[in-house]
Amino acid sequence: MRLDRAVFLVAPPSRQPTMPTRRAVLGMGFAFTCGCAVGTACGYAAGRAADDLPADPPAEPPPADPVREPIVDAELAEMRRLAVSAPIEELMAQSNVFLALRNRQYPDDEILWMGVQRICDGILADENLANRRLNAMFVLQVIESNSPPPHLDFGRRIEALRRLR
Amino acid sequence: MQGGNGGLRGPTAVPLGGSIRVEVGPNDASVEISTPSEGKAESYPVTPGKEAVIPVPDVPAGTVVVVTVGDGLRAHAILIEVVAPE
Repeated sequence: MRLDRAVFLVAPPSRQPTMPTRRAVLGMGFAFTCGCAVGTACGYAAGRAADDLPADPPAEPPPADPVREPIVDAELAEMRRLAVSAPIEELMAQSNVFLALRNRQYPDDEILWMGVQRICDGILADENLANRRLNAMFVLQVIESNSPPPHLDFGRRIEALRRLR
Repeated sequence: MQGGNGGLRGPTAVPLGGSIRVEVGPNDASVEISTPSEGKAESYPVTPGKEAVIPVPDVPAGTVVVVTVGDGLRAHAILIEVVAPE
């Protein structure tokens, strides 16, 4: 067959290939690896720098509040409240029970001795207290037959209570 | 007699060698007696007449004993002086 005219065949437009997927994965992997290495190095350096700083001095423990100390025994907690922070009228209303319970159940509790001290003061302060002499004798015997903590001063109170007998 | 506010009434003084008679409220089955020097208490039953008779403990004259009824801080207590017999 003879062609009289030129014939041009139109080829489909060539498509520019995008970045090959394999190369893209390799690039992202390389970037991730570099990021991990730099991050680890920075974290390590920061950690070492923090370790080299002088440690903070230990915080001062809060002042002991005997009434708020966590204790399991609810009765002891109430006894301590009476001993330390309850109004003197409330403590004096239960002074006999308080002293008897202290002797029987909690002879070694130092905080309760503060209640004994307050009971002494209550007896000495209230001239109209019922059975005042008997109360004075009882609390004196509690003090003298046990061992109050040495830092609690009972000497002046003992002398005053003896004068009531 | 002393007490009465809580169902425990008793004398303020008893002689050595005698006994302590206390009146107890309706809901208590026993009373306890202890001395200031001893950590333990002795328990005595309450009679159907709501009384308890407690032998005076062997303590020197002038000792104050405490009689209690009830438990813990809800207890009631009276103080009794042990005196020398006349």
